[in-house]
Amino acid sequence: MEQNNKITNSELRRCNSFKECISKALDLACRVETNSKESRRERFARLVATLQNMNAGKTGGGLSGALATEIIWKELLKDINLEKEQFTFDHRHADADFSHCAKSFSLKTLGSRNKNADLALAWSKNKAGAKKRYFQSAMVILSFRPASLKAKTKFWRTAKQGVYIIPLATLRSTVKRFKRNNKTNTLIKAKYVVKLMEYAVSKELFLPLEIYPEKWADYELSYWKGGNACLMPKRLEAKWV
Amino acid sequence: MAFSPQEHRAHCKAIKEVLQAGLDQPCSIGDQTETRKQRHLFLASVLQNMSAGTKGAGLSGGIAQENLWREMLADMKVGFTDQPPEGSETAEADYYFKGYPLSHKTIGYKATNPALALAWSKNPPGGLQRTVFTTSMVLLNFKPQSQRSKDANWLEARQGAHIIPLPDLKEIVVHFGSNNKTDSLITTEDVGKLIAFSQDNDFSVYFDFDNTVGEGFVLSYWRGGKKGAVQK
Repeated sequence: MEQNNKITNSELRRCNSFKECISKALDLACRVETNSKESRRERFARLVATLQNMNAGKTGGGLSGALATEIIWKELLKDINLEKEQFTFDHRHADADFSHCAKSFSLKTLGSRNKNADLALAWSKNKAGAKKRYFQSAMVILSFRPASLKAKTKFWRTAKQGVYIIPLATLRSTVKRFKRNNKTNTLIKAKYVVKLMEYAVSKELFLPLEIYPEKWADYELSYWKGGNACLMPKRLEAKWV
Repeated sequence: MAFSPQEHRAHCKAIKEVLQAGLDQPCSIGDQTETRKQRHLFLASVLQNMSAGTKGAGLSGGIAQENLWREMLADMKVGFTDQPPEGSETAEADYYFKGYPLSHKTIGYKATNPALALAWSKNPPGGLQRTVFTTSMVLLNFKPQSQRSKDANWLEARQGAHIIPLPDLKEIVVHFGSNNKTDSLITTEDVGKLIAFSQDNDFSVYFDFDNTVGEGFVLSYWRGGKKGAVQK
Protein backbone atom coordinates (compact mmCIF):
# COMPACT_ATOMS: atom_id res chain seq x y z
CA MET A 1 0.00 0.00 0.00
CA GLU A 2 1.27 3.44 -0.90
CA GLN A 3 1.73 5.57 2.17
CA ASN A 4 2.02 9.31 2.53
CA ASN A 5 4.89 9.86 4.97
CA LYS A 6 4.93 13.65 4.89
CA ILE A 7 3.54 15.23 7.98
CA THR A 8 0.93 17.86 7.28
CA ASN A 9 0.00 20.92 9.33
CA SER A 10 -3.43 19.45 9.64
CA GLU A 11 -2.12 16.30 11.32
CA LEU A 12 0.13 18.26 13.67
CA ARG A 13 -2.82 20.47 14.57
CA ARG A 14 -4.99 17.47 15.35
CA CYS A 15 -2.29 15.83 17.47
CA ASN A 16 -1.87 19.14 19.30
CA SER A 17 -5.57 19.44 19.81
CA PHE A 18 -5.57 16.00 21.47
CA LYS A 19 -2.66 17.04 23.69
CA GLU A 20 -4.38 20.28 24.74
CA CYS A 21 -7.56 18.39 25.55
CA ILE A 22 -5.73 15.92 27.83
CA SER A 23 -3.60 18.68 29.33
CA LYS A 24 -6.63 20.71 30.42
CA ALA A 25 -8.71 17.74 31.52
CA LEU A 26 -6.08 16.01 33.66
CA ASP A 27 -6.05 18.62 36.41
CA LEU A 28 -9.81 18.87 36.73
CA ALA A 29 -11.71 16.82 39.29
CA CYS A 30 -12.99 13.41 38.22
CA ARG A 31 -16.61 13.47 37.14
CA VAL A 32 -17.40 10.04 38.52
CA GLU A 33 -17.19 9.15 42.21
CA THR A 34 -16.78 12.79 43.15
CA ASN A 35 -16.84 12.21 46.92
CA SER A 36 -13.15 11.40 46.95
CA LYS A 37 -12.23 14.79 45.37
CA GLU A 38 -9.44 13.48 43.22
CA SER A 39 -8.18 15.15 40.08
CA ARG A 40 -8.05 12.92 37.03
CA ARG A 41 -4.26 13.11 37.12
CA GLU A 42 -4.20 11.91 40.73
CA ARG A 43 -6.63 9.08 40.12
CA PHE A 44 -4.93 7.90 36.93
CA ALA A 45 -1.49 8.00 38.57
CA ARG A 46 -2.74 6.19 41.67
CA LEU A 47 -4.48 3.41 39.75
CA VAL A 48 -1.67 2.88 37.26
CA ALA A 49 0.99 2.90 39.99
CA THR A 50 -0.97 0.29 41.95
CA LEU A 51 -1.36 -1.86 38.83
CA GLN A 52 2.35 -1.58 38.06
CA ASN A 53 3.12 -2.88 41.55
CA MET A 54 0.59 -5.70 41.27
CA ASN A 55 2.11 -7.03 38.05
CA ALA A 56 5.75 -6.55 39.04
CA GLY A 57 7.92 -9.64 38.80
CA LYS A 58 5.17 -11.90 37.46
CA THR A 59 5.52 -14.01 34.34
CA GLY A 60 3.41 -12.24 31.71
CA GLY A 61 3.05 -9.28 34.06
CA GLY A 62 4.21 -6.83 31.41
CA LEU A 63 1.35 -7.70 29.10
CA SER A 64 -1.23 -7.85 31.91
CA GLY A 65 -0.01 -4.52 33.28
CA ALA A 66 -0.20 -2.89 29.85
CA LEU A 67 -3.71 -4.22 29.22
CA ALA A 68 -4.87 -3.04 32.64
CA THR A 69 -3.30 0.39 32.05
CA GLU A 70 -5.08 0.62 28.69
CA ILE A 71 -8.40 0.00 30.45
CA ILE A 72 -7.67 2.79 32.98
CA TRP A 73 -6.66 5.15 30.15
CA LYS A 74 -9.96 4.52 28.39
CA GLU A 75 -11.82 5.16 31.65
CA LEU A 76 -10.00 8.49 31.92
CA LEU A 77 -11.12 9.40 28.39
CA LYS A 78 -14.70 8.37 29.18
CA ASP A 79 -14.60 10.58 32.26
CA ILE A 80 -13.51 13.50 30.04
CA ASN A 81 -16.36 12.62 27.67
CA LEU A 82 -18.82 13.42 30.45
CA GLU A 83 -17.99 17.11 29.98
CA LYS A 84 -18.04 16.99 26.21
CA GLU A 85 -18.15 13.93 23.97
CA GLN A 86 -14.75 13.92 22.26
CA PHE A 87 -13.49 10.35 22.37
CA THR A 88 -14.88 7.28 20.65
CA PHE A 89 -13.83 3.65 20.89
CA ASP A 90 -15.37 2.18 17.76
CA HIS A 91 -12.77 2.11 15.03
CA ARG A 92 -12.36 1.78 11.32
CA HIS A 93 -8.58 1.23 11.61
CA ALA A 94 -7.25 -2.13 12.80
CA ASP A 95 -4.54 -0.60 14.99
CA ALA A 96 -6.71 2.08 16.64
CA ASP A 97 -7.56 1.97 20.34
CA PHE A 98 -9.45 5.26 20.55
CA SER A 99 -10.27 8.33 18.47
CA HIS A 100 -10.24 11.99 19.40
CA CYS A 101 -12.51 14.15 17.23
CA ALA A 102 -12.42 11.44 14.53
CA LYS A 103 -8.60 11.12 14.55
CA SER A 104 -7.59 7.61 15.49
CA PHE A 105 -4.77 6.70 17.88
CA SER A 106 -3.20 3.44 18.95
CA LEU A 107 -2.04 3.19 22.56
CA LYS A 108 1.23 1.63 23.71
CA THR A 109 2.54 1.43 27.26
CA LEU A 110 6.07 1.27 28.64
CA GLY A 111 5.89 0.14 32.25
CA SER A 112 7.86 1.46 35.19
CA ARG A 113 10.14 -1.59 35.13
CA ASN A 114 10.62 -1.63 31.37
CA LYS A 115 14.22 -2.20 30.31
CA ASN A 116 13.99 -2.84 26.59
CA ALA A 117 11.55 -0.44 24.99
CA ASP A 118 10.53 -2.58 22.00
CA LEU A 119 6.88 -2.21 21.03
CA ALA A 120 4.70 -4.36 18.78
CA LEU A 121 2.22 -3.01 16.28
CA ALA A 122 0.23 -6.23 16.59
CA TRP A 123 0.75 -9.50 18.42
CA SER A 124 0.63 -11.99 15.56
CA LYS A 125 2.85 -13.80 13.11
CA ASN A 126 0.96 -14.19 9.88
CA LYS A 127 2.25 -16.48 7.16
CA ALA A 128 4.07 -15.14 4.13
CA GLY A 129 1.50 -13.84 1.68
CA ALA A 130 -1.13 -13.26 4.36
CA LYS A 131 -2.41 -9.82 5.23
CA LYS A 132 0.40 -7.48 6.32
CA ARG A 133 -0.04 -5.03 9.16
CA TYR A 134 1.02 -1.42 8.73
CA PHE A 135 0.47 1.85 10.57
CA GLN A 136 -2.99 3.31 10.06
CA SER A 137 -3.31 5.44 13.19
CA ALA A 138 -1.22 7.96 15.07
CA MET A 139 0.25 6.62 18.32
CA VAL A 140 0.19 7.54 21.98
CA ILE A 141 3.03 6.10 24.03
CA LEU A 142 2.36 6.16 27.77
CA SER A 143 5.82 5.86 29.25
CA PHE A 144 6.24 5.21 32.96
CA ARG A 145 9.84 4.10 32.57
CA PRO A 146 11.89 6.30 34.89
CA ALA A 147 15.10 7.98 33.75
CA SER A 148 18.28 6.19 34.77
CA LEU A 149 21.82 7.52 34.71
CA LYS A 150 22.96 3.98 33.97
CA ALA A 151 20.96 3.73 30.73
CA LYS A 152 23.01 3.05 27.59
CA THR A 153 20.82 5.27 25.46
CA LYS A 154 21.20 8.97 26.13
CA PHE A 155 17.45 9.58 25.85
CA TRP A 156 16.66 7.23 28.75
CA ARG A 157 19.10 9.02 31.06
CA THR A 158 16.82 12.03 31.23
CA ALA A 159 13.51 10.74 29.85
CA LYS A 160 10.36 11.97 31.54
CA GLN A 161 7.31 9.90 32.34
CA GLY A 162 4.24 10.94 30.43
CA VAL A 163 2.23 10.98 27.24
CA TYR A 164 4.16 10.99 23.96
CA ILE A 165 2.05 11.68 20.86
CA ILE A 166 3.41 10.46 17.53
CA PRO A 167 1.75 11.56 14.28
CA LEU A 168 0.98 8.84 11.74
CA ALA A 169 3.33 10.24 9.09
CA THR A 170 6.17 10.26 11.63
CA LEU A 171 5.54 6.62 12.46
CA ARG A 172 5.65 5.70 8.81
CA SER A 173 8.77 7.70 8.02
CA THR A 174 10.72 6.72 11.16
CA VAL A 175 9.99 3.00 11.48
CA LYS A 176 11.61 1.84 8.25
CA ARG A 177 11.40 -1.85 9.02
CA PHE A 178 9.65 -4.05 11.49
CA LYS A 179 11.70 -6.66 13.29
CA ARG A 180 10.37 -9.97 14.42
CA ASN A 181 10.52 -12.10 17.52
CA ASN A 182 8.73 -15.24 18.66
CA LYS A 183 5.46 -13.37 19.22
CA THR A 184 5.17 -10.85 16.40
CA ASN A 185 6.40 -9.89 12.96
CA THR A 186 5.74 -6.21 13.58
CA LEU A 187 8.21 -5.32 16.29
CA ILE A 188 9.19 -1.67 16.58
CA LYS A 189 12.75 -1.79 17.83
CA ALA A 190 13.79 0.26 20.85
CA LYS A 191 15.97 2.60 18.75
CA TYR A 192 12.92 3.60 16.69
CA VAL A 193 10.83 3.99 19.84
CA VAL A 194 13.41 6.45 21.17
CA LYS A 195 13.37 8.39 17.88
CA LEU A 196 9.60 8.58 18.01
CA MET A 197 9.62 9.80 21.60
CA GLU A 198 12.33 12.35 20.83
CA TYR A 199 10.24 13.62 17.94
CA ALA A 200 7.24 14.05 20.24
CA VAL A 201 9.34 16.10 22.67
CA SER A 202 10.82 18.24 19.88
CA LYS A 203 7.36 19.11 18.52
CA GLU A 204 5.88 19.73 21.98
CA LEU A 205 3.67 16.70 21.60
CA PHE A 206 4.64 15.51 25.05
CA LEU A 207 2.73 15.87 28.28
CA PRO A 208 4.30 14.99 31.67
CA LEU A 209 2.32 12.44 33.69
CA GLU A 210 4.24 10.91 36.56
CA ILE A 211 3.41 7.92 38.68
CA TYR A 212 4.90 6.98 42.03
CA PRO A 213 4.62 3.19 42.48
CA GLU A 214 6.42 3.23 45.84
CA LYS A 215 3.68 5.45 47.31
CA TRP A 216 1.07 2.76 46.61
CA ALA A 217 3.14 -0.29 47.50
CA ASP A 218 0.76 -1.32 50.29
CA TYR A 219 -2.36 -1.22 48.14
CA GLU A 220 -3.97 -3.45 45.56
CA LEU A 221 -6.97 -3.15 43.29
CA SER A 222 -9.51 -5.89 43.79
CA TYR A 223 -12.98 -6.42 42.42
CA TRP A 224 -13.34 -9.29 44.87
CA LYS A 225 -12.41 -7.32 47.99
CA GLY A 226 -13.85 -4.02 46.81
CA GLY A 227 -17.36 -5.36 47.26
CA ASN A 228 -19.83 -3.20 45.37
CA ALA A 229 -17.51 -0.18 45.26
CA CYS A 230 -16.40 -0.94 41.71
CA LEU A 231 -19.71 -2.26 40.45
CA MET A 232 -21.68 0.32 38.49
CA PRO A 233 -24.51 0.47 36.00
CA LYS A 234 -23.17 0.70 32.46
CA ARG A 235 -24.71 4.07 31.70
CA LEU A 236 -22.63 6.62 33.57
CA GLU A 237 -24.81 9.55 32.67
CA ALA A 238 -27.71 8.15 34.62
CA LYS A 239 -26.18 8.73 38.01
CA TRP A 240 -22.78 10.33 38.16
CA VAL A 241 -23.03 13.61 36.34
CA MET B 1 9.58 -31.89 42.46
CA ALA B 2 8.96 -35.18 40.65
CA PHE B 3 5.63 -36.87 41.31
CA SER B 4 4.41 -40.26 40.20
CA PRO B 5 1.20 -40.36 38.11
CA GLN B 6 -0.67 -41.53 41.22
CA GLU B 7 0.67 -38.63 43.25
CA HIS B 8 -0.36 -36.14 40.57
CA ARG B 9 -3.87 -37.59 40.56
CA ALA B 10 -4.01 -37.54 44.36
CA HIS B 11 -3.01 -33.87 44.41
CA CYS B 12 -5.63 -33.04 41.80
CA LYS B 13 -8.32 -34.94 43.67
CA ALA B 14 -7.46 -33.04 46.85
CA ILE B 15 -7.68 -29.75 44.96
CA LYS B 16 -11.08 -30.74 43.58
CA GLU B 17 -12.36 -31.50 47.08
CA VAL B 18 -11.06 -28.22 48.45
CA LEU B 19 -12.64 -26.28 45.59
CA GLN B 20 -15.94 -28.08 45.95
CA ALA B 21 -16.14 -27.26 49.65
CA GLY B 22 -14.73 -23.75 49.42
CA LEU B 23 -17.03 -22.54 46.67
CA ASP B 24 -20.13 -23.15 48.77
CA GLN B 25 -18.79 -21.42 51.86
CA PRO B 26 -19.34 -17.73 52.67
CA CYS B 27 -16.78 -15.22 51.44
CA SER B 28 -14.10 -14.30 54.00
CA ILE B 29 -13.93 -10.71 52.82
CA GLY B 30 -16.81 -8.31 52.27
CA ASP B 31 -20.43 -9.43 52.33
CA GLN B 32 -20.30 -12.68 54.28
CA THR B 33 -23.87 -13.64 53.51
CA GLU B 34 -22.68 -14.41 50.00
CA THR B 35 -21.05 -17.71 49.07
CA ARG B 36 -17.86 -17.60 47.06
CA LYS B 37 -19.64 -19.32 44.20
CA GLN B 38 -22.35 -16.64 44.14
CA ARG B 39 -19.87 -13.77 44.19
CA HIS B 40 -17.57 -15.36 41.66
CA LEU B 41 -20.31 -16.18 39.18
CA PHE B 42 -21.89 -12.74 39.44
CA LEU B 43 -18.58 -10.88 38.96
CA ALA B 44 -17.59 -13.29 36.19
CA SER B 45 -20.86 -12.54 34.41
CA VAL B 46 -20.21 -8.79 34.62
CA LEU B 47 -16.73 -9.33 33.17
CA GLN B 48 -18.08 -11.54 30.37
CA ASN B 49 -20.62 -8.91 29.40
CA MET B 50 -18.02 -6.12 29.51
CA SER B 51 -15.75 -7.96 27.10
CA ALA B 52 -18.42 -9.13 24.68
CA GLY B 53 -17.96 -7.72 21.18
CA THR B 54 -14.90 -5.62 22.02
CA LYS B 55 -11.82 -5.88 19.81
CA GLY B 56 -9.00 -7.76 21.55
CA ALA B 57 -11.20 -8.36 24.56
CA GLY B 58 -10.69 -12.11 24.47
CA LEU B 59 -7.23 -11.71 25.94
CA SER B 60 -7.99 -8.95 28.45
CA GLY B 61 -11.25 -10.67 29.41
CA GLY B 62 -9.37 -13.93 29.96
CA ILE B 63 -6.81 -12.20 32.17
CA ALA B 64 -9.56 -10.46 34.17
CA GLN B 65 -11.38 -13.78 34.67
CA GLU B 66 -8.16 -15.46 35.77
CA ASN B 67 -7.45 -12.65 38.25
CA LEU B 68 -10.94 -12.97 39.68
CA TRP B 69 -10.53 -16.73 40.05
CA ARG B 70 -7.20 -16.23 41.86
CA GLU B 71 -8.83 -13.74 44.22
CA MET B 72 -11.55 -16.29 44.94
CA LEU B 73 -8.91 -18.94 45.65
CA ALA B 74 -7.02 -16.57 47.96
CA ASP B 75 -10.29 -15.85 49.80
CA MET B 76 -10.52 -19.56 50.70
CA LYS B 77 -7.32 -19.28 52.77
CA VAL B 78 -6.54 -22.97 52.36
CA GLY B 79 -3.15 -22.81 50.69
CA PHE B 80 -3.65 -21.35 47.20
CA THR B 81 -0.88 -18.88 46.43
CA ASP B 82 0.83 -17.05 43.57
CA GLN B 83 4.23 -17.78 45.04
CA PRO B 84 6.13 -20.94 44.11
CA PRO B 85 7.87 -22.92 46.80
CA GLU B 86 11.60 -22.34 46.59
CA GLY B 87 13.21 -24.02 43.60
CA SER B 88 10.05 -25.50 42.13
CA GLU B 89 8.80 -22.79 39.81
CA THR B 90 7.70 -23.96 36.36
CA ALA B 91 7.16 -21.70 33.37
CA GLU B 92 3.55 -22.82 32.98
CA ALA B 93 2.37 -22.46 36.57
CA ASP B 94 -0.16 -19.70 37.20
CA TYR B 95 -0.69 -20.53 40.86
CA TYR B 96 0.06 -23.18 43.45
CA PHE B 97 -1.88 -25.24 45.96
CA LYS B 98 0.32 -26.00 48.96
CA GLY B 99 3.31 -25.86 46.63
CA TYR B 100 1.72 -27.98 43.88
CA PRO B 101 1.84 -26.02 40.58
CA LEU B 102 -1.23 -25.49 38.41
CA SER B 103 -1.70 -23.79 35.06
CA HIS B 104 -4.98 -22.04 34.43
CA LYS B 105 -7.03 -21.72 31.23
CA THR B 106 -10.39 -20.05 30.73
CA ILE B 107 -13.05 -20.84 28.14
CA GLY B 108 -15.44 -17.94 27.76
CA TYR B 109 -19.23 -18.11 27.68
CA LYS B 110 -19.34 -17.19 24.01
CA ALA B 111 -16.33 -19.20 22.84
CA THR B 112 -17.31 -20.73 19.52
CA ASN B 113 -14.05 -22.51 18.85
CA PRO B 114 -12.53 -23.14 22.27
CA ALA B 115 -8.97 -24.03 21.40
CA LEU B 116 -6.35 -23.14 24.02
CA ALA B 117 -2.70 -22.15 23.79
CA LEU B 118 -0.05 -23.70 25.98
CA ALA B 119 2.15 -20.65 25.35
CA TRP B 120 1.76 -17.56 23.21
CA SER B 121 4.83 -17.81 21.02
CA LYS B 122 6.04 -18.97 17.64
CA ASN B 123 9.69 -19.78 17.89
CA PRO B 124 11.69 -20.41 14.71
CA PRO B 125 12.70 -23.97 13.76
CA GLY B 126 15.54 -24.95 16.06
CA GLY B 127 14.39 -22.53 18.75
CA LEU B 128 12.80 -23.48 22.04
CA GLN B 129 9.46 -25.16 21.34
CA ARG B 130 6.92 -24.92 24.17
CA THR B 131 5.04 -28.10 23.38
CA VAL B 132 5.63 -30.10 26.52
CA PHE B 133 3.31 -29.91 29.51
CA THR B 134 5.01 -29.56 32.87
CA THR B 135 2.03 -28.73 35.09
CA SER B 136 -1.44 -30.04 35.83
CA MET B 137 -4.21 -27.82 34.53
CA VAL B 138 -7.34 -26.12 35.85
CA LEU B 139 -9.72 -25.47 32.98
CA LEU B 140 -12.46 -23.02 33.87
CA ASN B 141 -15.32 -23.52 31.43
CA PHE B 142 -18.10 -20.95 31.16
CA LYS B 143 -19.34 -22.25 27.79
CA PRO B 144 -22.85 -23.65 28.16
CA GLN B 145 -23.65 -27.16 27.02
CA SER B 146 -25.05 -27.19 23.52
CA GLN B 147 -27.10 -29.92 21.91
CA ARG B 148 -25.95 -28.63 18.54
CA SER B 149 -22.32 -29.59 19.03
CA LYS B 150 -21.06 -32.18 16.56
CA ASP B 151 -18.40 -33.39 18.98
CA ALA B 152 -19.68 -35.97 21.48
CA ASN B 153 -17.37 -34.69 24.22
CA TRP B 154 -18.59 -31.12 23.81
CA LEU B 155 -22.20 -32.32 23.94
CA GLU B 156 -21.50 -33.48 27.48
CA ALA B 157 -19.09 -30.71 28.55
CA ARG B 158 -20.50 -28.89 31.58
CA GLN B 159 -19.71 -25.48 33.00
CA GLY B 160 -17.27 -25.68 35.88
CA ALA B 161 -13.68 -26.04 36.96
CA HIS B 162 -12.16 -29.11 35.34
CA ILE B 163 -8.85 -30.34 36.72
CA ILE B 164 -6.58 -32.44 34.54
CA PRO B 165 -3.60 -34.19 36.14
CA LEU B 166 -0.31 -33.79 34.29
CA PRO B 167 0.13 -37.44 33.17
CA ASP B 168 -3.37 -37.50 31.68
CA LEU B 169 -2.85 -34.13 30.04
CA LYS B 170 0.23 -35.50 28.31
CA GLU B 171 -1.56 -38.63 27.24
CA ILE B 172 -4.57 -36.83 25.76
CA VAL B 173 -2.83 -33.93 24.01
CA VAL B 174 -0.24 -35.50 21.77
CA HIS B 175 -0.27 -33.06 18.84
CA PHE B 176 -0.45 -29.29 18.92
CA GLY B 177 -2.06 -27.07 16.33
CA SER B 178 -0.79 -23.74 15.00
CA ASN B 179 -2.28 -20.36 14.25
CA ASN B 180 -0.86 -16.88 13.72
CA LYS B 181 -0.14 -16.43 17.43
CA THR B 182 1.12 -19.78 18.68
CA ASP B 183 2.52 -23.15 17.70
CA SER B 184 1.27 -24.84 20.84
CA LEU B 185 -2.46 -24.80 20.27
CA ILE B 186 -4.56 -27.39 22.10
CA THR B 187 -7.27 -28.09 19.55
CA THR B 188 -10.99 -27.76 20.29
CA GLU B 189 -11.32 -31.52 19.93
CA ASP B 190 -8.61 -32.15 22.53
CA VAL B 191 -10.07 -29.57 24.91
CA GLY B 192 -13.33 -31.53 24.68
CA LYS B 193 -11.42 -34.72 25.52
CA LEU B 194 -9.75 -33.05 28.52
CA ILE B 195 -13.09 -31.94 29.94
CA ALA B 196 -14.56 -35.38 29.32
CA PHE B 197 -11.64 -36.99 31.14
CA SER B 198 -12.04 -34.67 34.11
CA GLN B 199 -15.79 -35.26 34.30
CA ASP B 200 -15.52 -39.04 33.92
CA ASN B 201 -12.87 -39.31 36.63
CA ASP B 202 -14.43 -37.02 39.20
CA PHE B 203 -11.93 -34.19 38.89
CA SER B 204 -14.60 -31.59 38.05
CA VAL B 205 -16.44 -29.06 40.17
CA TYR B 206 -19.60 -27.84 38.48
CA PHE B 207 -21.48 -24.58 38.51
CA ASP B 208 -24.36 -23.08 36.59
CA PHE B 209 -23.23 -19.85 35.06
CA ASP B 210 -25.99 -17.42 34.11
CA ASN B 211 -24.49 -14.86 31.77
CA THR B 212 -27.47 -12.52 32.07
CA VAL B 213 -27.06 -11.61 35.76
CA GLY B 214 -24.19 -9.24 34.99
CA GLU B 215 -25.88 -7.49 32.09
CA GLY B 216 -26.08 -3.74 32.43
CA PHE B 217 -23.19 -3.53 34.91
CA VAL B 218 -19.52 -2.75 34.61
CA LEU B 219 -16.63 -3.31 36.97
CA SER B 220 -14.42 -0.26 37.05
CA TYR B 221 -11.57 0.79 39.31
CA TRP B 222 -11.92 4.30 37.92
CA ARG B 223 -15.55 4.63 38.84
CA GLY B 224 -14.92 3.07 42.23
CA GLY B 225 -12.77 6.06 43.16
CA LYS B 226 -10.71 5.35 46.26
CA LYS B 227 -13.04 2.58 47.42
CA GLY B 228 -11.77 0.09 44.82
CA ALA B 229 -8.26 0.20 46.27
CA VAL B 230 -7.75 -1.90 49.36
CA GLN B 231 -4.83 -2.35 51.67
CA LYS B 232 -2.95 -5.58 51.06
